[in-house]
Amino acid sequence: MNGKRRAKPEMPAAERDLPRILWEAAQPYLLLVPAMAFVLAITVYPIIQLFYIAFHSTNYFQIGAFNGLANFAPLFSASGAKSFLASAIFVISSDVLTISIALFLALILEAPLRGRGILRTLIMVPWLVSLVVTALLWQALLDPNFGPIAHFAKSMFGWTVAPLGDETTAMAAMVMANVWRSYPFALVLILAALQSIPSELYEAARLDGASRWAELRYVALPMAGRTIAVVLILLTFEYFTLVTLPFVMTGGGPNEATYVLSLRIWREAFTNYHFGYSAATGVVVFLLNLALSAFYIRRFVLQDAPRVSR
Amino acid sequence: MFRDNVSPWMYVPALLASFGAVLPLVWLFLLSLDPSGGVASSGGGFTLHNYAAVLFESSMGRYLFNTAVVAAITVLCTLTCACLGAYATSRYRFRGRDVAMVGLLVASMTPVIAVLVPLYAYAAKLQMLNTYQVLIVVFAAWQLPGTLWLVRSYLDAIPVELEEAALVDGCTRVGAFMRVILPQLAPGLIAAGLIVFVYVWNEFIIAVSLASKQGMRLISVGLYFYVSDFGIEWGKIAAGAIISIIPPAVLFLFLQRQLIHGLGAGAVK
Repeated sequence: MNGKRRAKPEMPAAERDLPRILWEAAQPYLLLVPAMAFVLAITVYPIIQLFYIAFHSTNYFQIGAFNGLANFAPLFSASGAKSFLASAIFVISSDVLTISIALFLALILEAPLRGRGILRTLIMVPWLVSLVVTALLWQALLDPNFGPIAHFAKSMFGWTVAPLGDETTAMAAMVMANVWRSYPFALVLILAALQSIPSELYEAARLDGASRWAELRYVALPMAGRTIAVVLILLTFEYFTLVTLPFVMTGGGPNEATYVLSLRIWREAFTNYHFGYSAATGVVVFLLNLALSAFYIRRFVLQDAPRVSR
Repeated sequence: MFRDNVSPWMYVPALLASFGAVLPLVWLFLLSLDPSGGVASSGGGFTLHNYAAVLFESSMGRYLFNTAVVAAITVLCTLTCACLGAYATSRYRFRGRDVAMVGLLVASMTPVIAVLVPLYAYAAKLQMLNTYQVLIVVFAAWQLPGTLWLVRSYLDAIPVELEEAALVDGCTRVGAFMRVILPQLAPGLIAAGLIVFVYVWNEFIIAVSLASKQGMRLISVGLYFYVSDFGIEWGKIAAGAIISIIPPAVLFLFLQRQLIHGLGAGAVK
């Protein structure tokens, strides 16, 4: 009986299964199609266009002939340089303040303070607030006529202050609003990293007679270092490409003091209709960002996460 | 460092930070209740007039509706595409898988502002400016890579054996996903959905560039234009701002744990 069945002319197994094998092999690609289609259409294609536009002359939104690096020239004028400087000041000072405040508070919130849960929740609140509301809120707080800060300065010291009207203080105010909104994110991640340090390490340090300072220097910082570095990079990405805050809060002023590169990209296109100049600035921002993300991915994602190649 | 001892001085920065976080918002709330809209400082009494005016006499109600619709559809779109892609990269071994994952990661780091101008030109050509569709497509595309990575990290944590058992019992792959994986994945999907929802709710620069026509604005765009539409009336702007904070705040209160877990997983793991 068995022999009879075997004797039947049958398609070889591999051949019969070919459609099934192909179907199995195609499945993961088909499943990735929607995600990839979105990313190609909304990220990759516009980036290619951005490069194309950056090297062509433009008239409003019409794209003309190839014109080499002409669109990049204004970036190296005094006004363009001011944007580079504004971006650098904004990013670096926001980074430094956010990381130091977040680290300091994370160290303190690790202690078993009374009401720690409530304190932590309250400190997290600004995280919920959108950038537009943050910008409007700080505009109102710093308003020279009815804002409480100006009011306080006047009644306490007799000073008349208009922080958003002055070049230096406008940048400081913008950094402050930015830090106010974004340090909770850094705090959560750094606190989680600190809490995951095994107590034994601190005990060992203490047995060796380490001071608190030495505990911070030789235990806490090295153990949480990777998280702090990741947070720093993620914040830098965010700050460098932030448009909403300067857009709503200062509009780039006064006298271009807060006219960061990312805002310039928007304004040159939508306000001044210098489409090519805007695209050239976009290319510069994109490339700087790409360099940072390449570093980040190589150093922190591929190296430390075997998950990618699992 | 301080995990097992408290000194009294620590309360000072902790309290300062919590006051610093909350007081500006309390002040904003009081401003929204002030009948004079802050013009006459400390001029007694409080009113809900600002809220009524914002909700019923401006288009803010419409903008809240727009935002809710766009956010909901974006969440659905993003989660669906992310689940499909995450399932493929978590459960299949295939050529190009790692390239796809890293490619998505690189894409997720592209700055919005760099592609905004080409996107605008593109949307204008397709006559899609000032539509829900353009906002949904751009937001979904923007959130997809991060969400896909996040969902994949949740999927990786679910044992494959569960699914294999279901397959042996005669389930199809789709059936096994729906009956076995999805219930396990639900908390992760809620966290991922929340992140996308709050992103759309708070997004400004894409929305103001692609849909700034009156009637099609999202809530943050509406708030920004309130000044130019109705003049600088801080009381009403404050009321609008408070209203716009409420939905994410409520979601956050209920789902605080998942949200923090999700953000942590997405950012550092």
